[in-house]
Amino acid sequence: MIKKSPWISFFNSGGCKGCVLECIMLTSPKYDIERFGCLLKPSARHADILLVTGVMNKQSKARLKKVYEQMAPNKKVIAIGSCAISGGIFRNAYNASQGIDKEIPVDVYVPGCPPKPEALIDALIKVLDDFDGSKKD
Amino acid sequence: MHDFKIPIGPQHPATDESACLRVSLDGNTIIDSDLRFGYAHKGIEKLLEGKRIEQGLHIVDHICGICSVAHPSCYVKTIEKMLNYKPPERVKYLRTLASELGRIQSHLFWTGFMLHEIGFETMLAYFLRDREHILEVLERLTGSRSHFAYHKIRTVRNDISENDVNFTLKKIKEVKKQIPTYMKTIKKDTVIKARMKDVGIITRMDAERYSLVGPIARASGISTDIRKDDPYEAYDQVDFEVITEWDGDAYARMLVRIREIIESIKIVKQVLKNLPKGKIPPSTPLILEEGLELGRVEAPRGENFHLIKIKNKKIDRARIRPPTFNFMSIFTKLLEGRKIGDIPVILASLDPCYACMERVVVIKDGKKEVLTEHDFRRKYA
Amino acid sequence: MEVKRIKLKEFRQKMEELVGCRLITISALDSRDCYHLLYHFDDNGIKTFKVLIPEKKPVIQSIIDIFPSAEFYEREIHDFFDIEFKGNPKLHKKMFLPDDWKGSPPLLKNKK
Repeated sequence: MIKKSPWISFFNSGGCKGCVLECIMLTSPKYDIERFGCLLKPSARHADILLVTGVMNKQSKARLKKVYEQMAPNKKVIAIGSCAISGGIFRNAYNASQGIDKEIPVDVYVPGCPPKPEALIDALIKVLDDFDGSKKD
Repeated sequence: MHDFKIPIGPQHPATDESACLRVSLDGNTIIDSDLRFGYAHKGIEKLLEGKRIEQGLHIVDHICGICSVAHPSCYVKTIEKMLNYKPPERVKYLRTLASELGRIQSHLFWTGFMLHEIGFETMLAYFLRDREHILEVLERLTGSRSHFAYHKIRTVRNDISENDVNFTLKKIKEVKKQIPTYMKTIKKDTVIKARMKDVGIITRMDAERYSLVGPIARASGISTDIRKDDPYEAYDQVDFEVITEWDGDAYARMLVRIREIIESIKIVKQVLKNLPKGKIPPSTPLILEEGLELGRVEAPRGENFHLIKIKNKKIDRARIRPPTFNFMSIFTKLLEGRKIGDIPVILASLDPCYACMERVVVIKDGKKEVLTEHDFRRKYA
Repeated sequence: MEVKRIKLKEFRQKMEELVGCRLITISALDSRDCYHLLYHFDDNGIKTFKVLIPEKKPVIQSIIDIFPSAEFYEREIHDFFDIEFKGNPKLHKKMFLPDDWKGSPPLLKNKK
């Protein structure tokens, strides 16, 4: 169903701005995902794919869950950066978690600190291959 | 009279850490506000306790993604003060180069973002395009687009080659070519002036009372810059001006940042022209038994301050005060009496490294209504 | 680093003398049986003043009326070390830690 032009939104669950900036640089003229029809939307309600960055801490856990539930069904989640995958360098801090997949299901993991925009585009393509009409609640 | 309490946070594209802003409204005017942090709090200061000095440096590298040079640069300065060590000239110049490139890319991003806040999307695209030039230079110099891990105790990680110098000069020239166009647009456009002039005014007296630093203080007439007041690295050997404006509004803050980009380009050219010859020292093991020292540098947002205590060769206490912490206290004061539509402009002009906006929850007469940023802006701003 | 020690009794008077200087920040260190509170000011160079507070009664006067930017530093230290700053009205609103934080203040060293 959604094969070509997903709308994406992102949520920063508490990291440094590194991965978030790489998400924004996707819309810069050099990488320009808008030529593929991908729009970066400020609200998750309008998005098909949610990019999550940052190490999820106790306060942002509840918000992340709410943002995820706000999205329409048939949604995908991409975890960006080592902090979102496993807690990264802040794993052992008292207020950090060990990855966002403890809270919401994740489809694609993009390692890096921060990953380059080329890696993010690759992740978007991988996720698109997965859409295929399969419904996800 | 309705008293709305709105926890604000439209989900912002450029959010570093999150803060929840609780605002009480009377109609469209803000009467009271409070900031609640904590959404990005990880416990870094506790994490640093008990680590070796080099491990601490690695963690400090990852504190912030946009001012990624400020924190390791301050940490290394503090440790070298404890060791009473003066690095060789080439190392100082290379560190200055990294700091200034970091400053240019940070200012380019936030100026573009401020203009995006008032709807000027084209300018954001231009600024991001120029930022890519600087990131390419940084990637060539340090190997990474962010979290450079360039500063090491007593040295830097990579040296710069002749080809790299020529590449940097070429890219800097491309960025410099665009600045007059930006200045012309900003000075002539009526919409920019209407949305940003006289918005979020911080008077000089307030700036002094609230101990403000960085471009915000400089836009209110206080000429404070750690690079001149307490010189470090190679700043005492390069020629540059401390940019000051007098109006103290969001427009002045934007002008300060763009003019600082021009000064930083001047510094980069001087550094590359006068780069001392020689080799950078290799990284050697560090033995430091005890010490208590503080250090400060001029981050893109202002004065960054570190206090480090070493005991038994390990970090006993690391106190990190980033520049943004300083001006959150004035943010709530700035909002009193303003309209709700001014909040994004004021917040963006303060260039916080701590603010995030999420979706808005409007509590009206006991009923909760959750709106997206688009709906919120359509209805209330 | 130059640190000047001031007694708790002279604290308020010393702070009033420093009006006009810029408050850089307030740091807290904990030692075996007391807290060291360091007040850093910028007065043509960094000047640091140290006050020792006993562990059994960690209370000190707030300087929020003369240095408004101290509000956030004092709230942060209260969150992490449980030191009371008398006169700071928003002290008990948690700033960085979650509202339902249980347990001892995180930056206190474990005393064995």
